[in-house]
Amino acid sequence: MPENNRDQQGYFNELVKANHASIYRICRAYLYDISYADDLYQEILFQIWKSIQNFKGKSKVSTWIYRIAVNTAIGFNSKNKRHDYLPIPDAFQIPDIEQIPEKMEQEAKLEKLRFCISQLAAQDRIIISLVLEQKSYKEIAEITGASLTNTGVRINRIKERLLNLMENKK
Amino acid sequence: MTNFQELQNSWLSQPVENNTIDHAAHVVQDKWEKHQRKLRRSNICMSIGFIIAGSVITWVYFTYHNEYNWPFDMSIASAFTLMVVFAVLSWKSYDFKKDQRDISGIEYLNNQIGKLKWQKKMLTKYMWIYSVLLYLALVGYIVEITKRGSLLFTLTALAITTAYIAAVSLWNRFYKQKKQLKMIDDLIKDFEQMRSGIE
Repeated sequence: MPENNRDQQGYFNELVKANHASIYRICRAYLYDISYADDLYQEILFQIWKSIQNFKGKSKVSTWIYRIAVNTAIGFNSKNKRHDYLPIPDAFQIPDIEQIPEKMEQEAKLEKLRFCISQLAAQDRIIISLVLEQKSYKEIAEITGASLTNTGVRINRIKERLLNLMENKK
Repeated sequence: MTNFQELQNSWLSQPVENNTIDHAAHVVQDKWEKHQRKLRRSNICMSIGFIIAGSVITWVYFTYHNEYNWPFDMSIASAFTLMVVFAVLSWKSYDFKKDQRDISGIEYLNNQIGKLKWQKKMLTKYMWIYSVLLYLALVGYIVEITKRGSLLFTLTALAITTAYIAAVSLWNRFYKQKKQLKMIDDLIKDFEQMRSGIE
């Protein structure tokens, strides 16, 4: 563990470098609006900094980071209720993938995916963000504290719902 | 037909801003130092407040308790208890701010639900304890300072004080705290729903 402020800074930088993309994507999955997702990202980094000296190495570093990210997201949303289920402006239309140039297809698909994730319940957004990060069922169960069996069942249900939303089914 | 693997690949390939990583440590350290300064300041102010209030009450008691009867002792004891209750609540609230985030999601939700329930209990029950202690302190004080006047004068003063404290307590409970309690209830409901969705 880092023993002084300089070690802590170095260790923190390493952690951020290795995990910033995952943390950022979790924020984007949890909060549809990018500016709120940015705020949440900063808050998660702050919470990691606060907790860094208490990390005892009992769990994997990645599990520890994901736990902080997930719990900060839960707390963040409870403090900022207005961030939940933001109404999508009337003018917003999911682009018709068939009619746009190929190079924009990826971004359009991604936008649609973000939108569909935003339609899930808060707890489902947390779980799916971990699934999308290619975490195993076991790791997800460790991060959330749920049983392995229940985690598996829930993940399958959420995946199915997300795929239905992507296919424009309810 | 979309498959999940495709979605996952698309999700993982999304661009992520890279330009703040190098400054992340400085940003969070600044935030941390500000947070610590604020906390230190509020702790120092709170402790000084307790020391001053406690010293004044103790001084008043030892200086005047020979001159007055039991109502004086009762009012001092009530004021002192009020201060102790306030101190305990302040420290407990301070403890609540120290969130442990590196535990599992369900444990975290359990903690949050527990804290909210405690806050609700404090709002609904502490208010009555506070009102009773304040009432006792004022009754003791009124009885002592009006003992040279007529009985009617003492009773009128007591009646006005009683009506005032009862009105303020009821207004507090059924009007002022209504919104706050609703917010706590909503949060408890959300967290419980979230917990059952994860479990």
